[in-house]
Amino acid sequence: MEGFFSHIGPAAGLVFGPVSLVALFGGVILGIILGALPGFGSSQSLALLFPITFVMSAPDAILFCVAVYSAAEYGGSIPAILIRTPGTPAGAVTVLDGYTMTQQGKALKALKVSLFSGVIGGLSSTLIFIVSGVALANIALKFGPGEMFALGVFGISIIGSFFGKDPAKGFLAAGIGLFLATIGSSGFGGMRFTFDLGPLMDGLPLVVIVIGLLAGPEAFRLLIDHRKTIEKGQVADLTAEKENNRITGEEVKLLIPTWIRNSLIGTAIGAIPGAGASVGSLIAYNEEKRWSKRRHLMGTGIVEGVAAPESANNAVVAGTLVPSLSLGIPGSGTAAILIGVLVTKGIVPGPLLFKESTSLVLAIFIGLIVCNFMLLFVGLVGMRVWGPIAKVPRRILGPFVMIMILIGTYAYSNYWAHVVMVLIMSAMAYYFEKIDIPTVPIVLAFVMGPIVEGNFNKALTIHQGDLMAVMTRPIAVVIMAMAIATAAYGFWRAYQSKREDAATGATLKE
Amino acid sequence: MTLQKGTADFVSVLLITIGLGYLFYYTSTFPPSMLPGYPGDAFFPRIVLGFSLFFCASIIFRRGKELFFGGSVASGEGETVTIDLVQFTYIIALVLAFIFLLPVLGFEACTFLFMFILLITRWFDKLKTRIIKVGLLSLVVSLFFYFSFVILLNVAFPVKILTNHIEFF
Repeated sequence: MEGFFSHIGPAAGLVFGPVSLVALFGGVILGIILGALPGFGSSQSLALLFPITFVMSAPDAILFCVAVYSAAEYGGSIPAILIRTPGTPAGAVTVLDGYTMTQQGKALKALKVSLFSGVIGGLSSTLIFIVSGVALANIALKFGPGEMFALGVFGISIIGSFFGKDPAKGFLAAGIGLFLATIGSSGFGGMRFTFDLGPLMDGLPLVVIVIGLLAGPEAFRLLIDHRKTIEKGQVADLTAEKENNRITGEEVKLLIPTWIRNSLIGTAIGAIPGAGASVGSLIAYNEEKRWSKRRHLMGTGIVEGVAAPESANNAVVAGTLVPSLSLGIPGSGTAAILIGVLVTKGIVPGPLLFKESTSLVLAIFIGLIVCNFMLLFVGLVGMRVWGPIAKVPRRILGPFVMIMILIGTYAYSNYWAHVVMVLIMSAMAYYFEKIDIPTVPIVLAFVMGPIVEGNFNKALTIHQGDLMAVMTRPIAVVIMAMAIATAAYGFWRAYQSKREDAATGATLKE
Repeated sequence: MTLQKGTADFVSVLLITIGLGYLFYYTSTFPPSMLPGYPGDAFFPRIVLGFSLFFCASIIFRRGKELFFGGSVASGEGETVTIDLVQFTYIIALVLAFIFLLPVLGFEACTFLFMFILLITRWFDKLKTRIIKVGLLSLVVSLFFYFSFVILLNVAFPVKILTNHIEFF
């Protein structure tokens, strides 16, 4: 991939066009607003806004999505700091020091630290993304269909092992996702699982899966579980704060190592499929407790306690893009939507993307940098506005989310059957979450299904139907061994956790 | 409806297993591969369904052991699954009503009614104030979606009251 960076001019042209800048700016604002709504994560936000991308070109759509993703991760910290209710799962750790700072009358300062940390985390991980993405794609370019199939299996093993409490349920969910991906045309001239039903002939559209499994259950939860929820949290009066809101030079000195450390942690965690921003922020907070000069004060409302998880969870965004774009393995529900957006625009993620659509990859890189600066601007200007958004009661949110889902799904192809499918998926996902069957692996496996099957079929055809010849190629063997080791580790970890739970339960009974 | 988590798990996964088992059987109706020894229509679905059935069996075995033979129940002991079936059915019925009434009443009226019916039970005010506030909010939301989707994104919703085309210039 010599001359990769020679495409920087056309890529900049893609980003700095008026429509792209509007898409980025709109994405940042919508991302902050949706992320700030209590209980709304980046994947739900993106699933809800997915229909807006239908009218956009591929670069604009992907730039819009990365802007929403980055901004929603920051937005999640707003209710965590102001009303002790994290907007995203990743914001849960921010509550510890963020809300304590609010109680001390330093809410505005906590919001500033969160914003600066998020932007620094986002910018540094973007630089790592482009370097490591190119390197990984270069390696993956040497892979044939057999190795790509093995890589897909490795991705499925990570997805199954680390989403949810029970790996068996994670793998079952991944299996359901792979099955759903087989509905429709087989690619061999036949139809599969259509039962002569017209709406199934073209297979299940990704929009149905994404909205139905990620945004749908949230709508049901808001409409049913939070029907009578009365939020008791009071939002801090940010206009009254004047004295405590400056970040001092000494605090910046303390924060620099925190930002560096946790940006690296966030990027690394983001690059591991299945881990995601919530794991990233949790690990970052733990590491901060170990390495910070003021570690004994963690949890008492210090700036490092907000900066650590926030720089990590925003660094996860670019980290997630590394395996998603260079290998086609989505690391999280949000990454699956990003891949889905590319696929619906006719672009196949994977190593060839870096070779054949270099301008697009570089546009994402530049777009991430621009969107972080926009996030800084919008975050600072609107800092006093976000409080009321965080205050919107959950019981009122439900009807808005549901109507947005219905209208958004219909907008995809003006077809009511898709809305009915979304309704069925949402109801199913709502029940699945009640019985601890995670729904994110279904989405991830659905996205990976055609890639895995396509490569498997290609590999078998190349090797004249000899399965052993496909599976015993050296690189494929190594990747398959990693997949088995990952699955084994997942089951061992679940077994250990179950034993610890049993021991704790027994101690409590005594 | 409140169920013991272990029972809910066992019954749900059992039903999923029956469904997947039927689908596995159904793959036998797919046409065979055009070239013997090469993958055909049923090849990948069978692998996927077999894979899923294996994990279903493992969950059923574990849960069955806990339920019928009193094995270790650390993971779900005392836990329950609660679903408000009335609300659940009500929401589904309302969404279906929205879908089927849309061609009859039009996008604007349906969106307004959908929002109004859902919001009115979630607003804690005196009835008169509640009706006014919820009515206004539903109207604003309906207009927002009308302008966003019908006018700006040009989605072909069946509109009955407002126009589906506005010229700005």
